[in-house]
Amino acid sequence: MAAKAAIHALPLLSVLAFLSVPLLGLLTGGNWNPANLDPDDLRAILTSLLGGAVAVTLITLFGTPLALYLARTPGRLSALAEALVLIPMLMPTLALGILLASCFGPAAPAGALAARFGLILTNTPAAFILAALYAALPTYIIAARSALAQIPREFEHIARTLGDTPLRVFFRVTLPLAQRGLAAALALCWVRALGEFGIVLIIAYFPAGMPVRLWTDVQDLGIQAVFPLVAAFLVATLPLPLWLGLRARRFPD
Amino acid sequence: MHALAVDLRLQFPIELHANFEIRGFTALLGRSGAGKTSILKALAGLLPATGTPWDGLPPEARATGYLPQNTALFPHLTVLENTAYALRGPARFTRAQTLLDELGLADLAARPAPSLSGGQAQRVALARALARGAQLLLLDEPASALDSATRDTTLEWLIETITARNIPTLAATHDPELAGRAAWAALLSGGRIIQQGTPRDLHNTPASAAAAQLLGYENIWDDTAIRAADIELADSGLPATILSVREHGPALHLKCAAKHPVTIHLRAGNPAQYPPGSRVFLQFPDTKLKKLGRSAPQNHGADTRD
Repeated sequence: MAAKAAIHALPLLSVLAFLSVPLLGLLTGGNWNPANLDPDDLRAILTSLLGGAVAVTLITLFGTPLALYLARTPGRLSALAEALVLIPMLMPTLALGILLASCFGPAAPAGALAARFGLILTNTPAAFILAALYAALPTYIIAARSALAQIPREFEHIARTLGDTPLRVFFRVTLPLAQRGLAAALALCWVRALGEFGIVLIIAYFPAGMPVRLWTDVQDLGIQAVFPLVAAFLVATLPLPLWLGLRARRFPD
Repeated sequence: MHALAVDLRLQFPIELHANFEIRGFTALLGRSGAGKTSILKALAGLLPATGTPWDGLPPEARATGYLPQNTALFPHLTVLENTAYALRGPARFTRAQTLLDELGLADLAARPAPSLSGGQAQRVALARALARGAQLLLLDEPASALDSATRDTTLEWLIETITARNIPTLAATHDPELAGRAAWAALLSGGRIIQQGTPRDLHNTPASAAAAQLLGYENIWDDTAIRAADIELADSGLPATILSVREHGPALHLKCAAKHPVTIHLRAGNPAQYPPGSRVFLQFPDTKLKKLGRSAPQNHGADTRD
C-alpha cells in the first residue's frame, strides 16, 4: 500500500524537486554581504521600485475597467478587445521592445509627438515606466478579467435593486468579492513589471533598473559578485506575490 | 389592498407578454423555462422590457425588493451589514438592528451570511428588501432553497410577514401547492398570462388544459379535467383496466386505461387488491369534473376571465 503510494507520488515529487533547484542556488555561498552593493546598484533598486510602483498604479487605474468590460461582455467586439490585450502579452518581449522602439524612438511618429511635449520615450525614467506598462498591463488585465468573471452577476443585480448605481455596486460588491483574485493579478503584474528585461533592454537601457544592472554586473564582475543585488531583486518581487497567490487559491466545490 | 396592474413586453431572453394584476401576495405560476424569472427581473429593472410599471427606469430607481432563488446575500458581509446595505447615514446599523429585532432575527445579526441555513437566509433576504423600503417584493421560487423540514414554517413566516406589512408581492413558483397559499394567482404559459384569479377560483374553474396542468390536475382529457384524488372506485361506472400500482406511504397511485389513460390516488389501500390487468369501475363526481373552456373545441361555459 505504502509502496504503491510512493510510486504514485514519485512523478509529482520529481517535478517539485526540479522546480526547487534554483533555491539551492541561494545556498551555493555567493557573497551575500549587502555592503557590496555599490551606489549604482542602489540606484537600480530605487529605479525599479519607483518605476514599478508608478506603472502598477497606472495599470490598476486603467486596466481594471477594461478587465471588467472583458469579464462582463460576451460577443465579437469584446473578443476582438481581448485579442488586442493578448497580442502584446504573447509577443516575445525582445520583439515587442524593438517594435516599441520603432514607434517611440526620437525619430518615430509617436516618439516625435511626445518629444514635442517634452516627453522623451527612450532611455529616460518615462521610457522605463513605458516598458513596464507594456510588460505588465496585459498580464494584469487577463488575470483581473478572470478574477472578476468569477463573481456571480446576481450579487451586482441585487445591489442595483437595493438602490446602488453601477459605480457604487463596483466598489461595494464587485471589488470586495474579487479582492483576492485582483490582488493576485496585481502581484503578478508587479513581478512582470520589475522583472522585464527584453523591452527594457531596447527602449530603457538607461536608467538601469535591477535586471539591466544585474546583466551588466554579471558581465563585468561575474556571477558570485552579484548575489547581494539578486537578493534585493528577489525580496522585492517574491514574498508578497507568493503570499497573495496562495491566498487566492480556490477549489471547485 | 389595491391592485397593481402589470403589462410588460419582453423580447429577451424569452419573448413574452405579461398582462395581469398583483393583489397582495400574488403567485406567478408557470413551468420552469416559461419565463417567470424573466418577468421578475423585468419588474426589478434587470432585464429590458417595455410597459407598466416603471417603464425603462434603472433598477436603483425602482422600489422593488428582489429575492432570487438562492437569496444572494452578500457573502462578504454579516447579516446586519446585509440588512443595512440599502440604508444610508450614521444610524443605518441601528435601524437595521431594529428591523432584525422586529422580525425575530436579532440572534443572527453578527453571523456571516454564508453561515446561514436556507430558511434563515430567506428571512434575512426579506429583511434586507424591507429595509430598502420596497413597495413591490419579487420572490423567485421562495421554496427552492429550503429543505422539506423547514419549508412550511419558512413559507408561512414569509407570507405572514409580508401580508402583515401590506406589501404587494409577486412570488414565482412552479408549485401549485405554494400558489394555493397566495391571495391571487396568475398562470403563465406559452409566453402570456392564460388565467388569473384567486387560487380557489382557479382551482375550481381552470380555463384551459394548460391552466389545469399548471394547477396540478393529473387527468386532462380534451375538454375535461379531474384530480387523481377525486376519482372514486365503485361497483359500477366507467370500466377501466389497471396498468400499474405504486405505493406512496399509505396512499396508492393507480394508472388505469379506459378510453384515455387515468391516474387515480387512493388515500389508503392494499396494493395486492389492485393487480395489474384487473378491471375496476370509476366514478367521476360531477362537482369535481371540470369542464375546460378555451383549448377545447366546444366551450362549456367555464370561467375564462383572461
